[in-house]
Amino acid sequence: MSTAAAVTVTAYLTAAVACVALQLWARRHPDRATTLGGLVTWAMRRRATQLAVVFVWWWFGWHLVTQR
Amino acid sequence: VPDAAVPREGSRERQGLGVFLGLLGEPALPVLLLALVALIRRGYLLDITLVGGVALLLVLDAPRWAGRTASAEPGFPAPRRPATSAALALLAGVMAVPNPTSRVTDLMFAITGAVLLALVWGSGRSGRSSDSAAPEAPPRWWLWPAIGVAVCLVELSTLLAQPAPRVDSPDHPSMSTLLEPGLVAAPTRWVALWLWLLGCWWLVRRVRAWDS
Repeated sequence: MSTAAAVTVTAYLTAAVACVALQLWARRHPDRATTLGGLVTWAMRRRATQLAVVFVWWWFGWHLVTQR
Repeated sequence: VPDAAVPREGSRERQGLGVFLGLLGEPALPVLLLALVALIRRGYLLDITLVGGVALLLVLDAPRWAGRTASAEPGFPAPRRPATSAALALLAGVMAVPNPTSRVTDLMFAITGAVLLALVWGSGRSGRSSDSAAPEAPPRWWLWPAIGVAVCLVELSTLLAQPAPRVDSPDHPSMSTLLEPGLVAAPTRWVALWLWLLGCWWLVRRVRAWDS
């Protein structure tokens, strides 16, 4: 693995760890931070966000599984 | 459970250009338009059509819906949760059987997408309004978008660093380059599809809740 690839993979792993840590922290301290579910629920108060989030989630699954 | 939708300022009366400009003030349409620019650079016609189509849907949908909802806590019940999970696991199993690059898989995703769109599109039919206040922002909500923006920047830098826009580079791996090999085997694809379908169902419940 090249240095550039290692840096990229490290960045993705760091983001993944940050997400898990933030989710756990938010569940433990709901007054200090929101969970991912709480954020999505709040963001979905807007109609455009509802449609866009559902589309992005569908596209993410289709893109990864079909490798297109 | 507050069950009302709050019209954005004059949203029902806004037409044409006003609706479009109003949507630009929300994050969804600008993000989709930025994604469209990146996809045009990569030259993926199907993705360009899909993202462009959804951006168009947002514009078409805006005048017929009352705007934002009033509650961040829909409280929509999840009836028969174990049965739903089992049914989605079965569906994921069916979807995981064919070759992932086959037309059958594409067709199954297209059907799933059509069902999702029908469920979500139909939820805005009532277009109710009330004088309820907008939901309060959750604490430190910006932490999640901060991580998301950081990931998007890494993804964008890898795509720009690739020698050819449409060819994956092992030296500059995008997220899909890293994840796709893990989805080649049917069992892992089945688990991933199950989680994905559960996510679809969760999102639909969130959207439908505003209309319940």
